[in-house]
Amino acid sequence: MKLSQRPVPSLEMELAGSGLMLEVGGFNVRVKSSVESVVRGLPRLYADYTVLDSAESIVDFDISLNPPSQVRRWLRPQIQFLLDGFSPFKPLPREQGFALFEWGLNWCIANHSHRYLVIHAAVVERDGRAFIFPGAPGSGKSTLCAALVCRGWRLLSDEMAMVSLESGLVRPVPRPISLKNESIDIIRRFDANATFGDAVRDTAKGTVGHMKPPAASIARAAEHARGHRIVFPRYRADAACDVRRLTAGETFMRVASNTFNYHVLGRAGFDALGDLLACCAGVSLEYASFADAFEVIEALENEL
Amino acid sequence: MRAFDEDAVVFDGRSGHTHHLSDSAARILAVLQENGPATAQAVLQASAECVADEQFGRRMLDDLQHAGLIEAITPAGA
Repeated sequence: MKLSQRPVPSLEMELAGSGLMLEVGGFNVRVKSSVESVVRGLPRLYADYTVLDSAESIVDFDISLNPPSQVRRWLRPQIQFLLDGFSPFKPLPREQGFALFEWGLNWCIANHSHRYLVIHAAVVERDGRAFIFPGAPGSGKSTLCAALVCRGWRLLSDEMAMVSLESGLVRPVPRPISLKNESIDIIRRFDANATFGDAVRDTAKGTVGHMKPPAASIARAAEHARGHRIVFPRYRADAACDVRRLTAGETFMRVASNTFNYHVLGRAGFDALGDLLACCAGVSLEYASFADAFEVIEALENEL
Repeated sequence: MRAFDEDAVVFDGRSGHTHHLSDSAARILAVLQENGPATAQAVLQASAECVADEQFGRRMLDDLQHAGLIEAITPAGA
């Protein structure tokens, strides 16, 4: 059963009680929360995900999002993220509840997936060719990823490229795309059909809004993809489109600096990244418009 | 070591650090990897060009000698 088929009263009861269990990119995630932003955000942005039976499924991440104390229910209300009863982060204002769920789940996946080299990157795929977009926050990788997804590319992730240490393929974990500040309206204007959750203001990252992932990407979450090109995007208003081929060594070092667990994996991470670069050339792309970026990406897509 | 067409990266297993080598050093190391033993002088020349981290340079030479890729380590300046 998909979450969209769950009646809202039943969903609220589950979230407030024993928890709602969702399959998210192959991870079984149980969520417990009575916080309004979470109760409202989940059915809107996770409508196409499969609901699992808690009694019959092994839980990978058992997450609770609730006020840290009775006092904080009323006085400057806060929300706390708990994984297996442990709090990895400081509480945040209550209205940031859904964003905290997304950030917390990112943390869970990146810190518990050491059978993969986890690169901080967006990943999209078309015709069997995956593009990996590593980038620091603010580089525009999620915005470019969202625009490509709106044009029919399959979303693997807007946050992490999970490269299997065994197969070298990228594992999809399609989730809502996190956009910040002006990027939210840019994508709204770019595709009027894009669905967004509530925009949350005054977070540490400014205003944050999440875009619903396409149902087709979620349906294909078990299909791993082969990397084709690694593109380091950088958005610069009014800049001329600038494309630069990177040497394999430079690409290696830049990707390694954008990983979550390279230092944990040691030699295995080194080998996985080396194998990835054997089929993925690196390119830096500075762009001022989606049209410029799409033209470059389509040209790269057609390269052998 | 991963040797690519133009350059290479080396994983230092003892420190866990990864180093990016310059073109000339990478070419020499690639030849060593493909063709087996060579003179230490060639490696020293390569390391002098590429390895800013002296300790890493010494360990790299040590590893190469243990792997049988160089015959002997010649003291620097010899």
